[in-house]
Formats: sequence, structure tokens, C-alpha cells
Amino acid sequence: MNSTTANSMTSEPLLSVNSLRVYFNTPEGIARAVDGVSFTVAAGETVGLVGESGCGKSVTALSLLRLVPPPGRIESGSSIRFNGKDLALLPTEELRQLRGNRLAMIFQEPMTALNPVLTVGDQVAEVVRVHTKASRSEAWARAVKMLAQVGIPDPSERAKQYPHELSGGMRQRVMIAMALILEPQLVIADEPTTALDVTIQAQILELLRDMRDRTGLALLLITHDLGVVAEMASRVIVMYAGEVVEEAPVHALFENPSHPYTEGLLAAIPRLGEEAARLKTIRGTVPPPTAWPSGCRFHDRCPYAFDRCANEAPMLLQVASGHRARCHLIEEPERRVRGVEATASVLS
Amino acid sequence: MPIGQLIRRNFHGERHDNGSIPLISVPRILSRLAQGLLVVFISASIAFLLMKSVKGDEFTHLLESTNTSATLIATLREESGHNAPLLTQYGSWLSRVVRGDLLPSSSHPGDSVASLIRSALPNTLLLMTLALVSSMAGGIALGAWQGVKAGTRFDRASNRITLSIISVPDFWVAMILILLFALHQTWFPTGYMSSNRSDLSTWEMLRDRLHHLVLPWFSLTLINAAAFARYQRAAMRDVASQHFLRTARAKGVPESIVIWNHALRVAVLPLVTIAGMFFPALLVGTILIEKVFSWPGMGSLLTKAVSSRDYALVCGIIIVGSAMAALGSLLADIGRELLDPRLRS
Amino acid sequence: MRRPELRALFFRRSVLLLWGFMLTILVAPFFAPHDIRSPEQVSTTQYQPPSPNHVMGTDNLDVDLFSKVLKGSQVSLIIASTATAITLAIGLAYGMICAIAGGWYDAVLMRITDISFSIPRFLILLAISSVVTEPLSVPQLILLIGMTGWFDVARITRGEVAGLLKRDWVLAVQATGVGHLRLAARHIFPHLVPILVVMATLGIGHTVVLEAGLMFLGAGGLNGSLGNLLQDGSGISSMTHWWMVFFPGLAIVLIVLACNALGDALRDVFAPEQVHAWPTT
Repeated sequence: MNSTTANSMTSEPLLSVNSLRVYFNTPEGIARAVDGVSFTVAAGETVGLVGESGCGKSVTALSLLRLVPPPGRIESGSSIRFNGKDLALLPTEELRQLRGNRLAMIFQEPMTALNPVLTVGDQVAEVVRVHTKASRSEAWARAVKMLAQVGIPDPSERAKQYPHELSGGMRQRVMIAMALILEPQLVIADEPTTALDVTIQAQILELLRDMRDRTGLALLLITHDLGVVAEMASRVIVMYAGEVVEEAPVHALFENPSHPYTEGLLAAIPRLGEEAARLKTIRGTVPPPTAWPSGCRFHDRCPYAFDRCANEAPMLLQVASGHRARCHLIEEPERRVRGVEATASVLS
Repeated sequence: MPIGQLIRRNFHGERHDNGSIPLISVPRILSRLAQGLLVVFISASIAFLLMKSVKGDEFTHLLESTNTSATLIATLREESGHNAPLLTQYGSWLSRVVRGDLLPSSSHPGDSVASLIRSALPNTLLLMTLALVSSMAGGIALGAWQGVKAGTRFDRASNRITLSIISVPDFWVAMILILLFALHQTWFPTGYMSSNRSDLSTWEMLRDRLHHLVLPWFSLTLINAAAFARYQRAAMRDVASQHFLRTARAKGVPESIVIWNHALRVAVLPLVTIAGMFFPALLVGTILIEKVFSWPGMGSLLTKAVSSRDYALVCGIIIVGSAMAALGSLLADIGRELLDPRLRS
Repeated sequence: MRRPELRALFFRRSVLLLWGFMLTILVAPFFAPHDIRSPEQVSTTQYQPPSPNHVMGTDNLDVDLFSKVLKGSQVSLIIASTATAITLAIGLAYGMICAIAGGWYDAVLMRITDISFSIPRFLILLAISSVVTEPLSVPQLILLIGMTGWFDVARITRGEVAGLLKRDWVLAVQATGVGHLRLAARHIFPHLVPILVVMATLGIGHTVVLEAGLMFLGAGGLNGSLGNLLQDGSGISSMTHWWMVFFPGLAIVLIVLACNALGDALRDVFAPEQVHAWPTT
């Protein structure tokens, strides 16, 4: 079944996240890892979710499948609508039937994400056996076929091997096979290439693109690497300190970044041919989720910060069609100067 | 075995290899075999040294109990090589051990140590194996359950209970059980393996044997099961945070299968190695319980040997005991290698 | 160590109760209700069950069992603690030497330890006791138990020290040219104290059981320890008088439980585990 036709008939996007809040009860206090995040993913769309470590993007991804480990919990008031059903409220058994089936996830570290004592083939076949009435041999055959599709050579032999006998790139291919074998409508990829060598990264991305084009799946790609986003996504969401700070179509984001954080991220990418004595950085460090700064959460690292920023948290404001950012500068563009005031508030 | 639990992590919370027997071993079966043989060899040597340090030998009792002349004794001694240099004696002792031809026992005149052990060993093995299987099964089950219910009242309460149980000496449990169920209530016999009646049918004999087995088996199982449960609980807690469990859930695998097929499969692995380390302790426990129940195995043999100073028999039992412990360790390593594919390449 | 968790530990009910009991054991023999050395008279009464006069009953010589148990606990504890101290001392030294020496020496010495560890200690001790002409005295027993138990202490110590030696601050200290002995004593040893304390606590409990088992099989002489008492109680005539078996064993259980509970609690203080519930959604 082609998922794009099914959904283009309804006006509701495939995935619609609203006011998602995920809090953790830690000994140091409540960590508000995800603090009011909303976004949508349409059928067949590829959305990039970008941010540094500690911004909450991984937790957001995990919460879509309700895989947040204790002591974390999805706070009430959060809504995760998928195919018209709210995943946050769904009974466990119904959610289980969706996982791996209509909605799948690819994890970051394939070595730790795979069971070390089961064969690779068994682990892929397991998805089939859990959701369909296929027999062991049927599931195994499908698994082998899928392994071939993801580009693993000699799949019938490889399927009998264990994860530690495969290279990092191949393990990630196995993870992709596991996620895609039942042709889900939405695939969430959490930093799928971060743990891999650069050459392998390119191959894996190409594989993902292939599979996406073939099955028309929607892809939520989570990464800190803007290069990956530029290559794969049609729309980008930037997260900082548990919030969405900017969302825009990919070209608009790169050509016209509105939030100072996005600006900083883009400026930090070194360019070939550019001469520089030092790499540009964003001053300061990511604050801990137990103590988000007051007002605008980025104000203590922002080069343009002014008095309003420390006291008043900005809303997501429209910059252009489909482009929004959470910054006071959108209302007061004349303040966009690196000034003495800015330095003062940065140091405070 | 409480100290063994310290091996898991050091006090900075890191897990590490603390020596040449790391927890995840990379066993070369041959090297293990060699080590086992070395253990037996050393035990035999210790036995030899002990025997030589005793004032007197296997002929002493002859001198004292019968009227054999001193010259005859001297000749016998000469013939059996007692006046040969120590090293030669050592060599011949070792060859006798290898052949299984040990000295005659002084407390059971007429029987050789080897034959005594041969008749007692199967009884001990029966008790030990049954106890090992049941305590592993029970311990793993309880520990796994505690792991899944981590942090709940059940977990905390049962943890306190297992701690109390491992604080109890197993032979005392045995005696209390006898007091309660064999003397106060006569539900079970007070000892021995069977009632030794020849008028019973096969079925009744089997029932009789089982009847005699219950109390000894239970005393052995209870404490070892609690010990295994504690290890399994720790192993489950370690596995709980592993990422591959999250992947399994993300695939839509039902939680019961996540626990059974994914978590347990991995959490059980260290238990197999630990079972190998448990063998000596289990052996000692069995010996003590055999004394309490007068179970006709190595334990009773050993107690009688100790009290009658039949050091030849004692030494023989040491050697066999070491061999058993080494064998158990070896089997555990083989088992671990079979179950854990990471160790196979 | 003035950590608040450590202090909180000592106010835990179980720890207080059990160690209060142990302290009582240590001093009580001096206040025992009846003198156990000489029975009051050659009495015709034997094996009296527990009564207000004799809380734990009497034995076949009409000697108060309660006093015997108190004295026995004292003996057992002395044997266990001294032997454990010896074990820790030897194991600590051996382990540190292994780790600091490193390389080939380390490998060989550790192999020796592993092999020694595999030899059933209990059996060897039993064998030694059967070979000597006179029953083992208390000092002999302590020495034997102490000298056969240090193998796993050495292994654990060596592991800890090897881990410590890899740390940067150790390299820094070594760069100041300090000698091995000083390094070991002043810098490394303090880090080993927590683990040694835990091993000591658990070790005492373990040794009490070991010694009881040895006595029970007749390995030592009549030294009045709890194991001895159990051996007396296990005779065919005395088994029918349940208090002869019950109370000495109960004393052992309480001692070992105190040790295990404390050791467990200490371990939680020094190396706390972050436990979360098993994920269920």
C-alpha cells in the first residue's frame, strides 16, 4: 500500500506532535528535557531535527514510540498524533502493534543496539514473526531478502552471523533492515551515521534515500550534523534547551537563518578555502535540563541579547511562509547588533 | 560466596577486569583443562606431603593391633619403597594416583581407598547434581523476577530474605529440618539413603529413595538458590539498561518475550561461569549435609576418615574432590562458551 | 569518611540491632549467669529444656547452654576476626605487589593465585587436621584459616590497584619520583580502604561459617566455639533435645547476618547503584 496516497486524502499530517513535555525525576531535581515541543511530519516528507547534545532531540524521538526510560515520563498534556490516534494515550498493546510495523526507529550505536547473542537474521526475522503470522522459515526468507535489499553481500550467510562479526556499517544496515522490513509509514532515525566512518556515512545515507524513494516513507532524521540535514531533509527543525527555536524549509534555513543559535551553528561549520585563525564557536555551554535559564533560554550565549531577552521568553514567531523562529529579534530587528549591552548581558 | 559479588564493579563504579580470571573469560578449553590438571596435581602433592609428615604409615596399625613382628614390618616397608629417597616415593605416588590405585584404608581394613570412594561417589554426585540443578533453576527464576520488579517492595523484601538465607549455615538448616520434620513430625526419615528393606517392589523402592532424598536435597538447595538469586538479580539490573532491549521494544516485541528471549538470555551468561566457581562450595556443603543425614557418600566417608585418622582415605578424597571441582569449573566454561557467541571466535 | 550516607547507615535499625547483639556477645561472657567451667554440682538432671532459670536449657552435664553459647560466640568471633585480619593483610600485600610489579610477574603470580583458589580450601584444612597428632589449637586454627583464604582478596586488590594505576593522578605522583613503597602506602592504600572494609565484614561472616563447618566435622579440638557446640548437639542422643542444636546455630546466623547486612549496606554506600524501574510501557 502506498502510504502517500492514503494520507493525502486526509488533511491531518501523518505525525502531529503538540506540546510534548518529557520530564525526568533526578536526584538533582526535575530535568525538563523536552519542554513544550510541537511539530508535524507529513506523509513522505523528510524532516531534519537538529541540535547539540543535551537539547532534547533524542528524548523527543524516543517519546514518539514511548521508549523513554524511567525515571523519565511523558507529561500529561502532551499529544502525539499518528494516523489519527494519540500515541501518548494509546493502550500498550495497541502501541506495540504499531511499533516496528507502521512506525519504526533506527538507533545510533548499532553495536549496542543489537542483541549480541542472537543472529542478525533472527533479529530481523523477529520483526516479521511478531507482527505477521509468518512461519519461522518464511520470516527467515524475508529477512534474508531484506538484508540483500539493504546492500549486504552474501545475505544468506551473513544472516547466520552475530553482530560482533559484522563491521559497523553492516550493522547499521541490519538496523535499517529491521526498521524497514514491514514498510512503515514513518521512520525515525536517531543519529544513524554518527558512530560510523565518513565514507560509510555516505553509503548509509544513500541507502536511506533509496529506501525512502522506493517506499515513500516519511523520515524524521535526528542529527547534530547540518551537512546530513542539507543532503536529506526538505524541512528542518532546530532544537535548543528542550524547545523548538526555529523551523524552516531547508533552503530557507541555510540561506536565511533567523535564530541566533542557528546562525551560530552555521557559522561554526568550517568552509574549504576560507582562511581563519580560529574556528568560530558559540560561547558558553549548553545549560543543564534541571536549570534552564530564565527568559529566552539562549540569552546567556547570544551575541545579540538585550534586556528583554533575560526576562521574557519569546514565542515562536513567523519569519516567512513555513518559517518560524523563537526570538525577540523578529519583532525588533533593529536590535540585531552585537553591542555593549549584549556583552553585558552575556557576562551576567 | 559473598565476596564474589565484589568482583563485579570497583568502587568508582567502573567495571573492569580484575585479573586473570575476568568475569567474561575468553576460555581456551585446553588452557582450562591444563589448569584443572594442575590443580589436581597440586592437591595430590599436598596429599603426599601430608602423608609423609605423619609419624607412621599404613603399616603402623598392623604393628599395634596385631602381633606382627617388627622385622616383618620392616621388610614390608622396604618392599613398598618407604626407604627409597623422597623424590622416588613422590614419583611412584603420582603414578599410583594416575592409575587410581591408592593405598589401603586403615579404617576399613581390607578395602582400598579407591574402592571405597568408588562406591561412595555416585551417591554424592546424585545429591550434588540434583541440588545444583534445582538451585540454579530456582535462583535464576527468583533473581530474574526481582530484576523485572526492580525497585518495588517485592524486590526489596525478597532481597532482604535472600540475604538472611545466605547467612545461615546449610548444615544447621539440615539439622533443624530433621528436628521439625523427621523427629517432631515423622514425615521424613532422619537419614540414610533408603530403608534397606529387601521386601519392597521396585516402585516402592523408588518412592522410598525419593522419600529419603527430600530433606537433604532441600537443605542444599535452599541456600544455594538464594545465592544464585542474588547474582541473577544483579545481572538483570545490569542488562536492564542495555540498548538492545530498547531496540526489541521498538520492533514491537511483546514485553514477555523481551524479558525471556532478550534480557534473560544475556543475563544468564555470567551465572554459568559463577556456577563453575560454586562447585567447591557446593561440594563442601554436600559433605556437611551428608554427615547430618548419614547419607552414604563422600561426606560420611570423609568424616569417619577424619575422626579415625585414616589419612590415606582423607588424602584420596581430597584428590577426588579437587578433580570434581576442577571438572565443574571446566564444564561451566564450556557451557559458557556454547551459550555466548562472542566467545567463540 | 564523614559522608552523610555513612552516618545514616549506622542509624539503620537492622544494623543497630545486630551489632548491638554482637557487642553484647563480646562482653557478656564476663557477666554470664552461670559459670561454665565447673558445673554447679554433679547433677542428676541432664538436658533440661529452656526455662526461666536456663534461658536456653542445659546440656548433658547440666551446664547452662546460654553461657556456653555466649562463650562460644566469643571464641568464634575471635577466631574469625583474627583469621580474616591475616587474610586481608596477606591478600592486600600480595595484590598490591602484583599490580605494581606488573607485566610478567603479575601474570605468573596471579596464575598461582587462581590455581590456589581452585583447590578446595575446606578439604585441605580437614586433611591437615586429620594428619596432626593432636587436635588443632585455636592459634593453629587461626593461622591455617588465615593463610588459606587470601587468594580472592589478592585477586580483588590487584584488580582495584591495577585500575587505580591507570589513572592520571597516579602518573603525576609517580612523576614526582616517589618510591614504590611510599606510593603504595600513602597514595594508593587510602583508596582501598572502602573495599577492604567491605571484604573484612563479609569475610568475618564467611569465616565463622567455615570454622563452624570444620569444627562440626571434628577438625579442631574442644575449644568451645559455636561449631563445637553444634557438633555436640548433633550427636544422636542430643538431637532429640532441640535447644542443643537450635541456639548455637541461631547465634551463628545472627552473627553472619550482622556481617552480611553491614557489608551489603557498606557496599551500597561506597558504590551506589542507580536503579530505575524496569521499563514497562
